[in-house]
Amino acid sequence: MRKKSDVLPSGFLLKALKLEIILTYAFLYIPVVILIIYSFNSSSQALTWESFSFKWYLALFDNEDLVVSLMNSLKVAFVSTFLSTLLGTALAIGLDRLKNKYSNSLEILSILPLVLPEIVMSIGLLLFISRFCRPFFESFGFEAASMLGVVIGHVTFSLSYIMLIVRGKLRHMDKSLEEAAKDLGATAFQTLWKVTIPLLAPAILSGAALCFLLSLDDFYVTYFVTAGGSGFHTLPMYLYNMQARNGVSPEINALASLLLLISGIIVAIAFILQNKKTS
Amino acid sequence: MFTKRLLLPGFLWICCFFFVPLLILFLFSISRVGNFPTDLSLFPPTLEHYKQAFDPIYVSIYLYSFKLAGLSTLICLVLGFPLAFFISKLPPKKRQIYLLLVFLPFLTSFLVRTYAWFTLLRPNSVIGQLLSSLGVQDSFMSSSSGVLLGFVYDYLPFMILPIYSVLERFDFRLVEAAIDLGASPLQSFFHIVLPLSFTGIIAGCTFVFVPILGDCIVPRMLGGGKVPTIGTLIEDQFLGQLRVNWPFGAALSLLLMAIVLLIFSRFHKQLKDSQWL
Repeated sequence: MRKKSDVLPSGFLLKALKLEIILTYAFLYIPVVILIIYSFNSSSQALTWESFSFKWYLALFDNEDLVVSLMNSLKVAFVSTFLSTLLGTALAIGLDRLKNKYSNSLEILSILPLVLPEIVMSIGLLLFISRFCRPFFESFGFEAASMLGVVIGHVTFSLSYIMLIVRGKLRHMDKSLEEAAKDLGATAFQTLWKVTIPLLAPAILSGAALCFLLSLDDFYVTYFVTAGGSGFHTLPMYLYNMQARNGVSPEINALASLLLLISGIIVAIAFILQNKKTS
Repeated sequence: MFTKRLLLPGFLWICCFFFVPLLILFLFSISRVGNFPTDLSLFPPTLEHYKQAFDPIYVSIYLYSFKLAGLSTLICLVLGFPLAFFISKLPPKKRQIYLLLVFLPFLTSFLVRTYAWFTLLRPNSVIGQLLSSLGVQDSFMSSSSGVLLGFVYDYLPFMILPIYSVLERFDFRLVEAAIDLGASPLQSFFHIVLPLSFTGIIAGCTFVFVPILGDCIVPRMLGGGKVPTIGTLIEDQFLGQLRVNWPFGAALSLLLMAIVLLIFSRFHKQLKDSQWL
């Protein structure tokens, strides 16, 4: 018997819809799956399958440039995640406490980095850093200067993401717990530290995981801020340069699959943590 | 109060590293081209770059970009809406899994996903051979069709999520009422579900259309240099192989930003209602 709230059409149309949905999911996954499968192909020809082998992965680790890029990516990701989580959470809490006529506009201003095309922000940062910050940064050494630029770029958009996520959680949070703490004599700082932040912890952690992921995977901002790669590479930039020079190659497939694996692991961890907290 | 001042470091950061760069972008856009790209000959300021931006060659590129972005958005909508609808009608536990499945590709690197598509479109790849054996031209690579597919592939999740979150809150009792009053399921879909999920559709289209306009990776990777868009045009002014022209690039970037702000202010109400802004 048909459920009353069933909007789905019957018969042929329904089958067509179901087919469309399956095809769309397939569309999303097939390129990635093929990529991963062929990264294990010991033949370098894309079409012929020779045998299952890890040799392209091993070749990756022999590549010193690649290992350096990986290290760079990780360094940048950790630093920018730390900074943006700190600043973004503070921003969200501060905005939540500020209940005057400016708070709405301030919120929108804080989200602007996400709203505007990345290219605008990246180029602005390129101009700003290369023109005004370089001399200052270079006193720390060239590599530190480049890394600093990339970190700044990543933090700037990660900040807004974390602000969005934590703010959302704050809106739905039960304020009575905070009020109870205040009634019992806690100072603002104590309330924050012992009540608000533990309650926000799941949102903060998933926001941090997201920022870590975004930083690792980021190409756009990194590419522009380092002006196309003046020596300081992160993993996605390395992949882009390899692709630009060699087109498709099994090593790139292996690298891409590795990136997928790292991202997948982080997502899985975040997912498990999220479900653990709520249960 | 202490907690209010918490917002200061974060906000100062955004001011310093987002708004100030925008200001500098503006200053660059009205300065003259110097000997070095980073020269800032601000006095006297000039509007020549903005004038140049309206040259017919460039305008044709803008129109082409809009067409490409618009078509990609449309395809994303047609593909994404049924998916969002389907997921929103699942029981809550299953929803999470299916949603995650949609987002798993998205949570990996944008570059990797574009690259994966790139490997498929090469002439001597699986799909390339399939296409040429069917007699279809195997020039998907280095063409706008390849870029179009790349855009849809990369941005589809951005369309699905806003529509899903609006549909999730949808009160299906309205549909029950309509069916009780004699409407067919199809009618109730077109007259009730679709109009009420409109804000989600607008949000989804905005989140796909806007980034595609500024995208320079997909056209470059999948277009092989033959697909000029606003994004690649801007990139060329700064990091291109030929003549770089930073002030012109800055002017273009600001024009792009103006277009985006126009779009957002036009749909501000709908975006607010969909709770995405």
